[in-house]
Amino acid sequence: MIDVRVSKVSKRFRVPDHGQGRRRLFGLLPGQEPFWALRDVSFEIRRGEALGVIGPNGSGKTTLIKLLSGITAPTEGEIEINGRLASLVEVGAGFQPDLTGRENIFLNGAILGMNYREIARKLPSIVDFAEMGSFLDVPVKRYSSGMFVRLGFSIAAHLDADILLLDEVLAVGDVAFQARCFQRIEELRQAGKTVLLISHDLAAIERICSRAILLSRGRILQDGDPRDVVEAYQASVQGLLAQDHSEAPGPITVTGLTFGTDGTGPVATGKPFRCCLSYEAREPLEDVVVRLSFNWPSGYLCTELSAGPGLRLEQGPGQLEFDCPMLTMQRGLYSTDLTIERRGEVLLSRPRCLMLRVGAGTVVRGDFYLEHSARIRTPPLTTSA
Amino acid sequence: MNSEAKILSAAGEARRPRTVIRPTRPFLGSVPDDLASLARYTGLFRAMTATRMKIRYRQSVLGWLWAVLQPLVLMLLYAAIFSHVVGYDTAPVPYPLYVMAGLLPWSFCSTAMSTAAGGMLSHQSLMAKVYFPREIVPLSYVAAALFDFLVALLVLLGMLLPYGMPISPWALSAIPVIAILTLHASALCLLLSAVQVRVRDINVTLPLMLQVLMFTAPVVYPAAAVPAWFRPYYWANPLAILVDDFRHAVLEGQVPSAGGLAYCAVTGAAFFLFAYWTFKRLEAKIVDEM
Repeated sequence: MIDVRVSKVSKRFRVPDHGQGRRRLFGLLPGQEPFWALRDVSFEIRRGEALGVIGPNGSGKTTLIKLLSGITAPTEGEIEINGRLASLVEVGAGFQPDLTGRENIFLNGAILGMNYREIARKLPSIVDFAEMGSFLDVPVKRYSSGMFVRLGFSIAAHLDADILLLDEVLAVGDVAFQARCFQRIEELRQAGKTVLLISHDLAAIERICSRAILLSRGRILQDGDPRDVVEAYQASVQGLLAQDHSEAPGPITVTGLTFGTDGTGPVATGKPFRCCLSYEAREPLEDVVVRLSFNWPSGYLCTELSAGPGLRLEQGPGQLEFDCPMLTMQRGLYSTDLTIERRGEVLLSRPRCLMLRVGAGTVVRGDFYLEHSARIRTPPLTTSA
Repeated sequence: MNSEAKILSAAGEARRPRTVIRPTRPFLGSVPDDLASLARYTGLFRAMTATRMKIRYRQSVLGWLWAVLQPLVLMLLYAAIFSHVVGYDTAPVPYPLYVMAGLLPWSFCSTAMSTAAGGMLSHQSLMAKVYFPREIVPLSYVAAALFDFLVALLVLLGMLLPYGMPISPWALSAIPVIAILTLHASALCLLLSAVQVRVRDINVTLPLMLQVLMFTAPVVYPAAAVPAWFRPYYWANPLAILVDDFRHAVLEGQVPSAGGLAYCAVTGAAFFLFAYWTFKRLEAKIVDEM
């Protein structure tokens, strides 16, 4: 069963030509070079599938959502949708500041396509989800920004639909609210809904989606397993991240950073891991801390390697080697931050300077590999012993 | 209606609606489909109209009185100018009542048009995020203005008594006049709001256009003041006919002529279809243009 079929869809925008309205009116000249936000995009979403869409800003993700929800029309191609489609956008934009929360719930529910009875039935649940408490009959202009946004999302989250579009909704609210959003999406998934999720939170894409596509400049670069697609995306932006070398030279410069194993094949979970940092110090340095941090795709810190405090570096070139008997990080692509400090003073900082690719070695589920063994005992030991 | 749809979809998967989105809209033939989908959004239409009215008067001290006060103040102003300075004769109807009965249908049209034109822009961010039939926005402004109109009409009827004028049961014949006027106003609003997204000049020129439009109908002056040679052209304007018919019906209980009404109804329906079709054709581009 195909719920969404996008066939050869392109979307062209004319770059807004402010101040040229008169020329357009009389000459009917195209204002400026056309800009293709999407170019020849085709894909299908099967029933019950959760498709993640990733890509840099301006790659066409939001245009895709707008086409699917009917907000704008494609320039070429055709989109077929089987089922009720709802866009789970944060609809706080439709709030009327002078109306109360209750009045806005009914107004926004209607905007999203719910009828009066449906909203009245869901009202307690919407209020509860948004944690509004006693603010229900207060004009929304008196709300805190967090409450405003939560209410907007809460209304959208109560839509009955077969297909759900989610655009950056996970960026909404505090950690607790995000956790509830995740839970809500999980519930919808289990209820067999088809989901299309757009997010810059790559970890969320890996966690929620069963498939992902990578968009770049309006075209699909890759379509497949979320892990592979996220990796491909990260590899494609790696060049951008490594480019910052414009700072003034400090007392120490880094000349190289390499990741390796004990000489047998690529870096992989469960294998030894060796990391070698080449530097050149302009003066002898006392009491130094060198830290290498590895970050998840989502940007959160995964783990770090550090040397010092009390490390002493001689003047001139040198090498610092980190040795891990076994790498427990899971398969994936991690960005690396390098910092060198002396008594709390930062001598050198290179955020996102290199990507660490960890291959599939010892495959386990979860976030990291725990070294372990297992054995069978017969007869069993008595616990009282 | 919605809970029904839910049960059906639970009962059989075949009930899922199938939507196809294509680049171009077919010509006039799409209007029935569009109207059908509009009918599914009556809840939103009602909610938006209610919102308009709530917001308009929520934080003002006099609240609902404004619906009445505005035409009243205008009435006094025009009464002072045209009856004392210019000296129009509107006998047997006193001039203040005469002008009020013209101002009410007129300010309904002008309020609807000026609020609807700006309304599209103030719903910009919402339209960029959610799809709903866009025509609901201008139409809800028409509905809100209609409501004000009806409130003010009650006041006008009340004003007949101190002047010693009877309220005729034939005043009810104003109802079809109001209905046809609403059709014309809706068409004007749809056209204005669709075009104004592309051509922002409308915002600037609208007050001027409304002034001019007001003098094409016998709102503040009696139709008898129009030179005889110009009258055939003058009465080609449905707005002029409707304002005049409304006034005669309400003040004098005079039933409008069937020919005039039929003419207004036919031109109104044609104009509305044209405006609606134009609006729907531009609809998909509205968000891109904003």
